[in-house]
Amino acid sequence: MKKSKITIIVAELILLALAVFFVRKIFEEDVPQKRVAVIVERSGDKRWDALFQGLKHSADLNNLHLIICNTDDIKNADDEKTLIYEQLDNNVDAFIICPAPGSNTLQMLQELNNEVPFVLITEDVYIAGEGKDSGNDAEYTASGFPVIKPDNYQMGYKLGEELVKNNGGALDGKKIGIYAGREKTEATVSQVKGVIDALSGTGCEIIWEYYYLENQNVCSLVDNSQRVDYICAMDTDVLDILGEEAVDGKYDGAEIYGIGSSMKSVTLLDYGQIRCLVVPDGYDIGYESIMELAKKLDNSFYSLESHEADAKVIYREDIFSDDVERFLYSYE
Amino acid sequence: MNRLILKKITAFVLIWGMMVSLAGCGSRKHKSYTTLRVGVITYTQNDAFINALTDCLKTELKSMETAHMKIIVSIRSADDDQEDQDEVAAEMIDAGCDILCVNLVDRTAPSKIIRNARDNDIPVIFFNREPVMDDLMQWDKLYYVGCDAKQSGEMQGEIAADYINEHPEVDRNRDGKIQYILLEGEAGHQDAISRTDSSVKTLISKDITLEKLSYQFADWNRGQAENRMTQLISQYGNSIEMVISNNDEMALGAVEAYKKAGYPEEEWPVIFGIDGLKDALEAVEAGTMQGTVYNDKEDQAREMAKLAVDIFKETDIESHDLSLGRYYVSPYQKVDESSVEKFLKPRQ
Repeated sequence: MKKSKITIIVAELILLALAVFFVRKIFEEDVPQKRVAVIVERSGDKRWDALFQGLKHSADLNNLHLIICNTDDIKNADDEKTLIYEQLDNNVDAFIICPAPGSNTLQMLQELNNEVPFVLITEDVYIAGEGKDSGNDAEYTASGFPVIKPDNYQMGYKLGEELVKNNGGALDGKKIGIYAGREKTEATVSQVKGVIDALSGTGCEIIWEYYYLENQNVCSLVDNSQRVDYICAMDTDVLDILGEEAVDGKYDGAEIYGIGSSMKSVTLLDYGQIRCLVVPDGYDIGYESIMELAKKLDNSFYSLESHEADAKVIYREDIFSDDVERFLYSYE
Repeated sequence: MNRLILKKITAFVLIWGMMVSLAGCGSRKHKSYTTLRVGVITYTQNDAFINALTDCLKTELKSMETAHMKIIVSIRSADDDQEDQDEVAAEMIDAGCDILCVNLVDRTAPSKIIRNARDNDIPVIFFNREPVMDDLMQWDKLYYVGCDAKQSGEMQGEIAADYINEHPEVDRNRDGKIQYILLEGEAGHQDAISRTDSSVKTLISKDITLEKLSYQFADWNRGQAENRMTQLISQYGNSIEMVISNNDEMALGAVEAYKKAGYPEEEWPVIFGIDGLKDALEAVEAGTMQGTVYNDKEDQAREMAKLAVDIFKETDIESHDLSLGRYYVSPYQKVDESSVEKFLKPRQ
């Protein structure tokens, strides 16, 4: 009698466990995908192609619904905030954000941090007081937010280093023009600092230093400036514009060294219009940012981590080497 | 006792819930303006005319922003692949978009975009590449802004005929026939067929006797046209008397090929394009091209921008005077040496 009672209880427990298992399975399949919104300025730009490939691939693997926001120029924290809050109304669970220029972005993101998880990509937040005018020689202060980005300082430094190396270690009497990306961004501040550090003490003179503005006529600005021997174009748009207008590998007599992340930049390098290119691993940035968020969305106690993406120095003659071809695969 | 505890817990939960929802409301500030989000998808990023047109469109839309209406213009391209374009359209709609402006890769395959837009009630303005009429009539929120390809061909033929009549030396071998090369956009492309056909027919109707040496497809692209033309120059030498191109980019490719081949300019054939690109206008002014047909991108961009804003504001669009309630056809204009100056000035 006692034995049969135990058997019944055990059988009931097994049935209950099975029922729980199947019910859970059924509901697991019905769980809606978590939604991740991506906010980068001018989302249609070709410079994001590799990044978007990485994002899409990783989102597929992690069963996340990816929303690439329709954007044009994001000039400041307010522009970015509008986009973010529109997507919050669109029931987004997490964000991937390229921080807007300016010092107000930090506070805006601190507010967002209390609401929803996010990771920053390609660069950290600009912090007021950093940059060339601050007299601050230390490396950039991190915001503390999770960031997936290349070492922007090192990218600038490598570019300068290559320029010095190609001139036998000295640039005596050579004139340099620096055309950087948007002002008041971490990437620009770090890259410019990197290139200037690499060039210091080599005998060259930095003749001009410009920052890219929306609708700026890049060519006319350079044409109306003092002629230089080398241009360091540290922004994809600027690099592609100058590279396209270069004749026999030179723009107005200047060789172009650049940082770029579009297929066009690579093509211009291949055509000999650009002398040397530093390329960040956009695919990796996209892939890793989704991986981080997937962990967070799966387990709310997970603490989001920063990752450093790779960047490569490429010359025309290296484009078809196995190593570089593998690296550039996602750019096609 | 237990009831009292239960009441206290319920009250606490209710108050906490209210506080959380109030805090949530507070964090989303109420906007004092509406946002019009315009998604623009081009067939490629490498078409100079389309890029100039989308630049104009963006400028026009931005000029229509007010304190109460912010306009976000997002421009993406489809890399010459209709499936890619369908995917980009779906992504744009998913991310939130009020109006789509689509420059189709394949004018016969807009159905996925139309279905997706209709499901989400997003009006679509097709531009530059005209969908088949049956497709455009599928839904009352589909529009087309562009030009009449046949008219551009006719005008090109007229400019070429007038030039040849005024400059008999074009017929270098004096055989009474003009030996010519055709540079065509894409095989089977409606605009390419229409431009070629009407241009040649117009020349013939103007008593110009033609002899076709060759035709080449160069995908509307300057670089490809240059390659094709270089081959043709080595094949036909200076027996080519005229180059008729379906667009300016390819005409400029022919100019480039002649420059690189080292022919003196007086031995070049006459070259005619279509679109009125800045480079082509400069070539007409310099005499390396003899004419083009101005495709009024400023007018088309202005119309698209106005239409987008009016549709968004739900204003009556009667004033747009659209043919069949859907079509806006912008007129072409002839450009030759005598008129090029006015087109080179910045246009309003």
